[in-house]
Amino acid sequence: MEDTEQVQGLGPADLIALAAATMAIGVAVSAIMIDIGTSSTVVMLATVTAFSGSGELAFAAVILSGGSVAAGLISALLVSSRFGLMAMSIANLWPMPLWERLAAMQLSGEPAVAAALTARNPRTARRLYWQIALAMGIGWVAGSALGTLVGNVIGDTKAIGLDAVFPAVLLGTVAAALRSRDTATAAVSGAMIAVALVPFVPAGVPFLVAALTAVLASRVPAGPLGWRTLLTRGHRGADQAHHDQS
Amino acid sequence: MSLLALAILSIGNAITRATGMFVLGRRAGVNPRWTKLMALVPISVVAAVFAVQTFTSRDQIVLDARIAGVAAASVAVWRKAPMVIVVLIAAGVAAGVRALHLGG
Repeated sequence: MEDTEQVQGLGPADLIALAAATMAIGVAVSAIMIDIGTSSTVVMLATVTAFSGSGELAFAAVILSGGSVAAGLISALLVSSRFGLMAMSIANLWPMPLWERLAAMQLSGEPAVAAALTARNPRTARRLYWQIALAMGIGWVAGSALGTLVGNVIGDTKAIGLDAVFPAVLLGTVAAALRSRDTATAAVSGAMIAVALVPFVPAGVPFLVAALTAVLASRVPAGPLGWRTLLTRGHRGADQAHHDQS
Repeated sequence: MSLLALAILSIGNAITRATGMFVLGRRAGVNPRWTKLMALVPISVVAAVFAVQTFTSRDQIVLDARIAGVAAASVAVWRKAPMVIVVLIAAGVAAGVRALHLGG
């Protein structure tokens, strides 16, 4: 409460770590794109103009399973539809001129949006958003450039575990959501219904259905969740403050 | 991916983003229920992308070395390790499990 007007931000170590992590994702995605026969030029253009690693991965997954380019594109666009939701959720967080809106919607990513949404005031939201979005954007482009080289050298990106990197990063993004009842409901229900639907609906549709589970979760009141809360009810304030700082 | 496919994907993504930023976002206003919903939607979708990337391949549920990598990484996340450590653990454990032929 007392620091409502204080602008908080991330230090260089955190930002370098974020850039490095995104770089790893960029390497993985571009290596896979090269694997399905994309030219290095198109991969680098896609990195900047599409700005959606998961979209590129979805496209590659369809092509690798023998699907058509049209099916791959539909799948990629559906997976990337969440960037529209992310743009929506930051639209009113702080006052933005037109150029900033255009840049913010193009460079959006889950970690930046999540940080901005949990910020205590608009100026902190703006600062955190741009710190994270730019660190990740730089890492993403650098990683993609490296990936076009790696893709031509390492045939099997799975052998170096690159397919585990993307979900691990996403987990780091949503882990904080598991602390409150409403956000945990949104995360768990979205995850479960999406996996359950994968065998039965076209690629990408599970993400849209998952988005609908948020409507149900929005009926759940916010509040701490878990056994730790039950055991340490009296110390919750201190515990929460500790979490918020790190 | 051809140049044409790239153009379709990029323009499609730009339309999606602009719709969120300029149409849905503007309309949301200050209704607290809308605000809460807007905060929850990305959480549902990110959790869904996480789960799909971890437990499925193409159109099937597939349990393989990724789970070991992600499980190990989740410990690092829980211990609040830096993201780059999380990434290295995820890749290293998944690659290790595959190298030892413990799982696809």
